[in-house]
This record gives sequence, C-alpha cells and structure tokens, in this order.
Amino acid sequence: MSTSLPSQLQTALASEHAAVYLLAAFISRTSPGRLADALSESYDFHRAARDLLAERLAALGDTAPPGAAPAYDMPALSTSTAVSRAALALEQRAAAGYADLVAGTTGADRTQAIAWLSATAVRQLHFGAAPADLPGIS
Amino acid sequence: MAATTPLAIVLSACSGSEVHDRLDSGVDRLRAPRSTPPAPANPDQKLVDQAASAIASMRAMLLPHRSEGTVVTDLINLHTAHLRVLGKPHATGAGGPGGSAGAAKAQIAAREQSLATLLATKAGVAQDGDLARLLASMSAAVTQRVAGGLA
Repeated sequence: MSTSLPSQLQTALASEHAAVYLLAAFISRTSPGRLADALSESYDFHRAARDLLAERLAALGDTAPPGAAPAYDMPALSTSTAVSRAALALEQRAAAGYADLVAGTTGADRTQAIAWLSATAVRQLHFGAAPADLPGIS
Repeated sequence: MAATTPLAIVLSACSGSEVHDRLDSGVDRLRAPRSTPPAPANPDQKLVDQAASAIASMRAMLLPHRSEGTVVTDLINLHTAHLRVLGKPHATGAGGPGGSAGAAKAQIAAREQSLATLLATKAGVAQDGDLARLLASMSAAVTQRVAGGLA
C-alpha cells in the first residue's frame, strides 16, 4: 500500500467537507419535494461520514485533520434538473472515493468504506442514475 | 543393452567433442531444476472462487426467469459481467426456484441481497486492495439493483 492510513482518511474527510458544503447549497436552491428529500438524506449521510472520519483521525492521533475550505466550486444550479445532475456527480465522486478507501484500508475502516460505497450507489438512483455494473469504478 | 549400462560404454562410440557435449549436457541436467518452480499461491484465490461460485449460482437461479422482465435480464447481464471481470466467465451454479413469477421474484430479491452481503464480506477480508475494491463495487451494484425495485 503506497499511502498511509491517515492520508487515506484525510483525503476522504476532505471530500466529505466538500460534499456537505455543496449539498447544503443544493438544498437551499430546491423546493420541497422528492428531490429536496433525497438531497437532505444525502446531506445527513455525508455529514455523518464527515464526523466519523474526523473522529477516526483523532483516534489515530491526527491533531490537524483537514478542515472545510472557505468555499467550493459551485456548479450551475438554475433548474431542478441541474441540481439533480450536480448531486449525482457528487455521489459518483463519493463512490470513487469510497472505492479507493476500500482498496487502501483494512479491518473496520474497510468495512465502513464498503458500506458507504453501497449506500452511495443506491443514492445515485435518487438523482437519476442508471444502475452501474461497477459503482465507484466505472 | 542392459538398463544399467555404464556411462563410459555409451560414450565410447562418440567423438571427443561429442563426449564433452554429452558430459556437459549431463552436468547441466543435474544442475537444472527438475521442474518449473510453482507460482506463489494467490492468497485470495479461494475467496475469488467462492465469490464466483456464488455469482454463478445466482445467475443460474435467474436463467429460468429471464422471460419475466427486463429486471431479471439486467441481473443476468450484471452477474455475467461480474464473472467475466473475475476471470470466471463460464462458472456454473445450481438451478433456480420454482413456483409463480411473484414468488420467484421475492426469492430472487432475497438471494440477491444475500449475494451482496457475501460479496461485501469477501471484500472485507481480501488481502489485495484492488480485489477488495472490485468485490465491494460488485456488492454495491447488486444492492443498487435490489434497491432499485427488485424487491
């Protein structure tokens, strides 16, 4: 394994910070309904993942885990279709990140990443994705 | 000629250079390994075989129901693709359930979920990280199908 465990987890944590920021923005631009519900579910998931990763890094003795950036590149969100597309892209990036985390970890960390990969693959369906043969890989 | 003919008698009909060639080749044979050393065992081979067997069984269960809709066909295609990625495209398994289409669908959903769990478990213990990633992704793909309306 070429990358250390803390480094793998730090990368994942940085991605979760971005996901939480972006999903909050998506929600703020969405009227109540199915899409808003799906976005809220996704937001709750990524916030929980962020907190778990921060706790895990703290347990490993990481005293300076990555924090949230002041801002992130915001995609165009002019329509609900655009919001849904942006949320799908976010979940696809998350799936790839979780797949990397599976490959780069062992034990409980890997088990967690496996569960996250499945969960994010299912959430992709809420944002219009067609089922994939290998979520997070292709 | 007896089977135990001394080497000197066998070589007596040879020219000097032939004798040296034969002696050299005999020495080489003594030094050369008797067979190709076996490749190092893949610590994940059993795991791959078990995953492929489970996927093949699931595919075999689905095959009698392929006329019942695109969902079943999609699952068959998914499992076929996964077997191909695992290098076991021709793996076979036991047959499928009987009964009505509705009952079979419920059984299929339950079996697919069990397969997803098995693949996730195998991903958790694979020694090779890339294999773990692949099995986890396969598990996610099956879970995606189940969540997408199979149940």
